[in-house]
Amino acid sequence: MFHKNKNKMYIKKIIFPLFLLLLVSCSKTPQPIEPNNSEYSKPSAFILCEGLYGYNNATLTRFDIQTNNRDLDFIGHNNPDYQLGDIANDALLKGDSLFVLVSSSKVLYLIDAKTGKILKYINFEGDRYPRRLAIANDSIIYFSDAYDNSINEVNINQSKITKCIKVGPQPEGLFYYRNKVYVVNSGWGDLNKANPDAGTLWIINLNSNNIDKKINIGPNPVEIILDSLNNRYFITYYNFPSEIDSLGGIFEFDLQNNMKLSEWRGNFTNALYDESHNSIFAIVKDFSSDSTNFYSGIAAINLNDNTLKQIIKNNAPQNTWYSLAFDKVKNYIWIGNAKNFQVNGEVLIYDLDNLTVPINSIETGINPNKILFYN
Amino acid sequence: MLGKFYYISIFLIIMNISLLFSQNDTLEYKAKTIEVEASTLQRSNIINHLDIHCINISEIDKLNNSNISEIIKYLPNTFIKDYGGIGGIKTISMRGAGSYQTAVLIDGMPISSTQNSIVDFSLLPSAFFDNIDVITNCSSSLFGTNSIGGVIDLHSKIPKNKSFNISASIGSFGYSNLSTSANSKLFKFPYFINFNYIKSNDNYPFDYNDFGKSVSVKRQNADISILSGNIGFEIPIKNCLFTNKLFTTNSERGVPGAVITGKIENSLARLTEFKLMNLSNLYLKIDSNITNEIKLLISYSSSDYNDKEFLPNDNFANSYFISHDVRITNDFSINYNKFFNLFNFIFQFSNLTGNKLSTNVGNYVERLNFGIGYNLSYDLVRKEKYSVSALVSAKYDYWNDIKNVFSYTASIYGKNIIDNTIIKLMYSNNYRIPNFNEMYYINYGTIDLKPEKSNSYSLSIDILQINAFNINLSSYYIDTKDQILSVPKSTVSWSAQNIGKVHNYGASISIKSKLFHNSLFSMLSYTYQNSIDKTKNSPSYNNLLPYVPQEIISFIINYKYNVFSIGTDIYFNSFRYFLIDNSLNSTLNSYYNIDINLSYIIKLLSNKFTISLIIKNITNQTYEIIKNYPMPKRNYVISINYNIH
Repeated sequence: MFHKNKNKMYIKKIIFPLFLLLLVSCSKTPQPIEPNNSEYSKPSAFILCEGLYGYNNATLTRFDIQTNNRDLDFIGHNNPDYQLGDIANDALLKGDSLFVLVSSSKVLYLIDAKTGKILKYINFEGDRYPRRLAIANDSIIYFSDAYDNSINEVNINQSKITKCIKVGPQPEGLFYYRNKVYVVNSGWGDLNKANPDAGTLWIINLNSNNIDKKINIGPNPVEIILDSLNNRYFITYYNFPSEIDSLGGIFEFDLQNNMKLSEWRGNFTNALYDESHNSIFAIVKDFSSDSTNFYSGIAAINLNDNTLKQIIKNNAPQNTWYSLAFDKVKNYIWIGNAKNFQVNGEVLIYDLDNLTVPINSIETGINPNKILFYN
Repeated sequence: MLGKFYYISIFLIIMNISLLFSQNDTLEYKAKTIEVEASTLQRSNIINHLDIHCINISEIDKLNNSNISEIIKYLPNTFIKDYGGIGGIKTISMRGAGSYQTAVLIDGMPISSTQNSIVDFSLLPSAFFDNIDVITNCSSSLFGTNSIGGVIDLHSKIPKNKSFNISASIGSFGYSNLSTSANSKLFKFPYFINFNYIKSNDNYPFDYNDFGKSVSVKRQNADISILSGNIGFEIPIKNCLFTNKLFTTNSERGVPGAVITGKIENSLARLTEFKLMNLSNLYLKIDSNITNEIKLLISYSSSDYNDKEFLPNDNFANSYFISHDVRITNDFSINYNKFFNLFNFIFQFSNLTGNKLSTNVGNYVERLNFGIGYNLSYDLVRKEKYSVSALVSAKYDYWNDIKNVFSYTASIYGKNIIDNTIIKLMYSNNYRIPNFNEMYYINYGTIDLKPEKSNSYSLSIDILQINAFNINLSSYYIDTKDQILSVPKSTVSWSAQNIGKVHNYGASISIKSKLFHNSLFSMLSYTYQNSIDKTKNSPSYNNLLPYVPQEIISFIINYKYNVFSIGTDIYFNSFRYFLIDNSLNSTLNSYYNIDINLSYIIKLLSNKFTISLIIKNITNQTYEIIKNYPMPKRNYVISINYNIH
């Protein structure tokens, strides 16, 4: 009897209130705030954010250079229900046309840079991993495919691949020049380094669809950039991840005879050429000028006197600098900081005339890997 | 492969039935038997200091053979990471800690893989076990490595009565299950044989964002088949009891991967696994106060993963691993007056062979562990109205490839006998040894990892420990340093690093009741938890860890009336972040699930024939537990069960 009464008391005074409490105490899911993005103006910058593999969280950040406003998901906000996809690896601008290549999603987008609207997309069938873009004209684009080991010509007007040429293992950086495509086959570092065609440059004649030339570059060439004014091109090769202490470097090649002209050693990535300074700027990891002090940061190679020096030091080594661009109009260096790859990144803007501290910092999506200026 | 499974199924059913009816009682071994239903730890008063949520599987399992994770998720402080469907990998984490920080035991013996520190619950059928202890106030000095978040102890008992059980189920998305078990005696020694076969296509529909258009597509390459068996016997001789249990599982499944824009699934990746585990136990009662228990676990497992879609390199697309584990534990206990002394000794050897180990170590790694521990429980006060006892426990472990680890525990237990109220306060210093993958997996492992160390504080109160109601309130705080986190080296590759400092804290309440002569069973659980990154200079400092919901609510109610039974299970999970950036773009929505079950029992003499229907996710919720791994919508299972006593 004593227990029965006690039970009733507990039911009334403890259990029912607790039950009610449980029903109303739930954490609310955070809701997005819609940005005010009805009008877009120039000049602006597009920052392609790669996302993380398997998370389908690639985005495009738009930064208005005049107003300092930024939109972390420019595509999502202007194309309701769209998701850019998984691992956005490359983008380029031609006039108002913004092309974005998303590797794991196997898709090439054509986006109106003025409005952010997706004008069309081409989803590639089969086992593909489109990696890098190069443009020939308003309607013809080329991309390298690291699964299919091929260079593919896409006719934007026809929305299809019009040409597919097999190349070496894991083609990556490429450029188009006078009806030829120059592509480097990295072999993805250690993964396929035993392949005899890994570490090569292939020059493809698009008239005959034949390989004009194969040139052995060395370990892991990933990037290639063209300086047509000075009849040369530059190839950046990375070290093998298994050989932690080894160095990569940058080669200079003659565009006419494809002879190697110069080489600079260092673990460079994201190399870019700026004709106004006749210099190459690159992100450098563990840069050393005297082989004793190692820093991460930005290096500049002055091509007038062939000198190499570190111009910006990354003072927070836990942050990974992941992309680089040069604003010719303002003489600014923009650095994409991926931080720890798991959080929203940022772009740090440095004035080339005063490189001590960044003059601005812009929040971006996850892993900013390409910065384009829309002037 | 499947044809082979069917032949094995038929063979095992026939064998089970024949063993049941061909009982030969003429050759009886005349021996004085002893009854041992629990391990040394459970029989000691050390068990009083642990916050144990004990669940009888038959109370919750409506199918007689649900997945264990489906049962455990209704208990407080637990969270299941589920990649979807029957074949999706299922791991359990407790108190906001990682699944690799949860020790999983069978009959008190750790079974977590040395390769990856986890147990995939999708391969463990509940039919092999009678009840589950979920221990939330953890202690490495009692349970060893991995027990930072908590411990799950699965108990398999050998029934003493002769019985035969067969159940079959069919359900949505090509699900089918056949399970038999037979318990009997041979020469007076009880034995049992269990067998279980599960097959599912898992081709459930889900909503897919096809470049801005929402379309319904079916999951592909998600099929699974699991054949598992369990044989056990016990031999009592004078004051000894020898028990042996053998578990085996053979599975083959597709690994469809994440659903992303432009690519719905990986259509070719397959995973084949085989596990064989033998657990022997020799219990010796030396006198009424002195006992000794030796346990031996020998296990073998192999896995073969093949992804033909990974084209760049054929060798890289295939990975195989073979591992062996031998564990021996010895528990020697002396109960003297108010003191209970328990001395532990552990030896274990593990090795791993595979083609995805770091080039530094070749294709083989091994590990050796010796541990010695001492536990003292002392009754401080033993009065008519209340009692208080204290526990101190310490353990020293030598690991040949890591370093020496010392763990310890102190606890106070108080009981008000009049009110049936119990208070437990525990402090423990716990650890987790890095697993083989974290140290040696190619392009991921870091060879010089340190063990994770944590300080754990736990307070729990049990009130109304009577038949009708049992209320448990608990709270905890765990401070972990050197937590091993997967840190991206790039956007596509990750590495194990010892950089984490994590604070976990939370509270839970669970109310369990059995009313109207046990015909109405209900259990309500609420968990509030936080796991926060406290790593200095981390960009995610003070952010919540991924995949840790702050709130979990579950409610089970089941009512039996004569031959009918009806019940419902409700489960709610608050929003979670899938990345540590805690941004809006990294949010997984909250979700709830409602399942309904109906059963009808037909009694045939002393035998029971049960028909059950379960409707899962009756409100047809669309949800994900892991980002880009959709979960099944509404689905059905019909089950028949025939039990002969």
